[in-house]
Amino acid sequence: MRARAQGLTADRRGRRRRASTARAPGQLLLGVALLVLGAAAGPAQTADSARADRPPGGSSARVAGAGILPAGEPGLPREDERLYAPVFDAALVDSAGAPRRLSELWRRRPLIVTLVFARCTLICPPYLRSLQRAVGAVGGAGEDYDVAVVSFDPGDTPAAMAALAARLGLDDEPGWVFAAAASPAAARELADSLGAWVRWDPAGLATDHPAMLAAVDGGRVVRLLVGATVPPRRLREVVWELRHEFVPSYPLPSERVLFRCFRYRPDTGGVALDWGFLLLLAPGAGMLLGTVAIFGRARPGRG
Amino acid sequence: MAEPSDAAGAAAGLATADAARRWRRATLVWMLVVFALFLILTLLGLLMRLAQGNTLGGLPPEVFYAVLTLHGLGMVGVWYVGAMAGVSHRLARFAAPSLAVNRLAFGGTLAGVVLLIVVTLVGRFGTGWYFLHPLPFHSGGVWPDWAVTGFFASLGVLGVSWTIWTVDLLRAIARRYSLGGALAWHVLAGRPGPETPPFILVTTATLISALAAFVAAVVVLALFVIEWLPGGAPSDPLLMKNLIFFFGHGLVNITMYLGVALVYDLLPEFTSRKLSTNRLVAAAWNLAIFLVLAVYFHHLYMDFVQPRFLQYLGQIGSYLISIPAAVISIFSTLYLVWRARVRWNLTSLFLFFGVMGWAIGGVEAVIDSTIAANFRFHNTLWVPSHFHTYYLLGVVLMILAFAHHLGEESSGLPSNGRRGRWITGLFLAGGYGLVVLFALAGADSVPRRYSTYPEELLQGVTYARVSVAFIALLLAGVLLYLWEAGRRCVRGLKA
Repeated sequence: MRARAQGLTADRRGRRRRASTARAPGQLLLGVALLVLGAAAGPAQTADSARADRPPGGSSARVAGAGILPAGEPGLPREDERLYAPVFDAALVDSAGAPRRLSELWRRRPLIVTLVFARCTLICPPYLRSLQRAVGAVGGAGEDYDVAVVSFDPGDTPAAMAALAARLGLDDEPGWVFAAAASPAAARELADSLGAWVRWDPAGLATDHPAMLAAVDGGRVVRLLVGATVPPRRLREVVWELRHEFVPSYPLPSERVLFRCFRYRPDTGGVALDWGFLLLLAPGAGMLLGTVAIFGRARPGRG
Repeated sequence: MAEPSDAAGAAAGLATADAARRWRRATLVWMLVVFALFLILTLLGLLMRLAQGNTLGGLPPEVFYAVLTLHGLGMVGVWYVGAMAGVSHRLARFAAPSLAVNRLAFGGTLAGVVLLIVVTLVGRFGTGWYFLHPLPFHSGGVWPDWAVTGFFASLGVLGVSWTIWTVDLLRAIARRYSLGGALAWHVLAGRPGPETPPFILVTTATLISALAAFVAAVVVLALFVIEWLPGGAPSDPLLMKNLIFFFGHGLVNITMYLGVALVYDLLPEFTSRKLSTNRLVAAAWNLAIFLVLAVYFHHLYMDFVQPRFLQYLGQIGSYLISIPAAVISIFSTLYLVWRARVRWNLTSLFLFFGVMGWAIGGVEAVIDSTIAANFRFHNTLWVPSHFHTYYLLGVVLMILAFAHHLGEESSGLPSNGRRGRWITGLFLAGGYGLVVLFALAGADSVPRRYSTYPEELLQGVTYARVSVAFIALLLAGVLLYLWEAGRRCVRGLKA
């Protein structure tokens, strides 16, 4: 504050020398400005805004409220997090027992990675079937991208992963790789780098983890899809992204968005006009209607 | 202000000296408020550059961004009302705008400005003047809920006042001119008809465009409020960004064109030549009404999800609008002064250099509105360079010219030629130094809107420090101008 006042005082002396006619009125105005600046330096009473800092997505609160996760536990990852974050190059053991590294896979082709465990009796089986159906609908596995189903469970053996693949009918399917993390540390690092988490729930005697997949290109996350199912239209966007095709789509803050000007069409990759576009036309329409209304009503005294 | 001597002037409601005096007083009060806010906001600008030059010993970022928000919104608003007040005053010679609405706009502006000062300087509301969605709702604990509510209330009060004001001026023009007459359609068609003064043409075209900007403001504000209310529904960020820039860019364009209207009306009084509305001028300003609607898309070039056809429309519109708005006005101004007997004083100097500054800033804007160039310049200090050029050294000079002229006429104190040249010199030296440094910094990849520069961008600190010297020159010019014009305006109030 003192340095600022001294700086301003020096400035004021300089102005006096240069403009000898700047007298009291200018100084008075400057004094007013200094008062304003002084107010700006004062402490502000702020309060956290529960509304302005909503928890992301809201689903973690709902899940916590349903008793599945204790309050304060991590919620579902956000799909807009970790974009272009590097993926941990985990050491893996595939279903044939061969040691692999995750980077071998993503160097061969862009990769869709999902974290499961073979003995899961909850979300993993239906999730994998949903992923299988979506990949089948979208196509391109083994050509444009590969799918890596990676177990984070240190107890999962190559045989267990092979059995999982067989149950799904994917053991000979091109483009599908089933593997387990080679160590608990590798599993943890990989999960962290993808924004996932794994937690043993002693009450439920189950391992909790989010159902999600990560699209990996050049060793970086380019998309996350979070959810118990994989809708084909959403996977199509991911695959387009992995093919380096422009996807004019972005996540909306919620399902209750009022108006959109454009609606992305995942089947064609193009955009279609939506009702919100009318709001962009409204200003021009208002201008024309207003002009007609104003000039139409006024008649007398015209030249 | 000269008393009208024709029937039109009588119809304009200035038939009595008392009416003319009331209009003059109302406008003088507007100008004095503009002067005070201009000085305060300029000092806030100085504060920001000092902070960016690391000469303040650590201004907290939340204070910087609150100041940035107030400076940006404040300057845009101040020069809009300054231009409107000037145009209202000059329009009263041709038509009969309502003094009551003028006063309503004054009250609404004061209320809105006070609210804005409170939410920024006290509440630390710091979204920047774009208040880009959804930033007002995500303060990160910096500003409280009441600041968000107060900000929307401020925008609401200002928007309502200014919309009513705009409609009233159009109403006044409509009582005197038909739409075709005001827009000189008969000139375009080559038919005989009543004379359409260039001032009326430019003002009408501009105020019609203003209706579009205010409709966009109503829509975007409604969507913000709906989202802000408990249980409210969120909005599509892309739609909100389109609407915000439709309004914001429109408001800035309108302010500039109103300033140009003042030039068209005032500058001929200082030269031996007159301006009339010919076919080229009529075509240019009629076209400008619609081009203004398409120009704002250049603010969304970097939003990859904006449909490509809108990006192309933005670039084409941005290029085309320079022709009617700037090229015609630049040539008109040059025509007025080239080898003519010009009475050069502070008013005419500011009018002339204001048009030239507007042109130079416009060239910077056209460069930045080229998509390929925007990839490099987007969100660098090039952007503040161009808008400070066409604002501070463009429309601000035009409005200050009007204010000085009004003060001179009202007070009877003639302009001091020597001081006028000093003031002009200080403004130009300080102002162009400031904007050139912004431009150089932008070309050197210094980003805009940084409260402090990280190690990788330390060149930004150097540019900021050097720019303070030019701001000091500018401030000297501002203070000297405020003394010259301010005392004339105050004396005019007492007259």
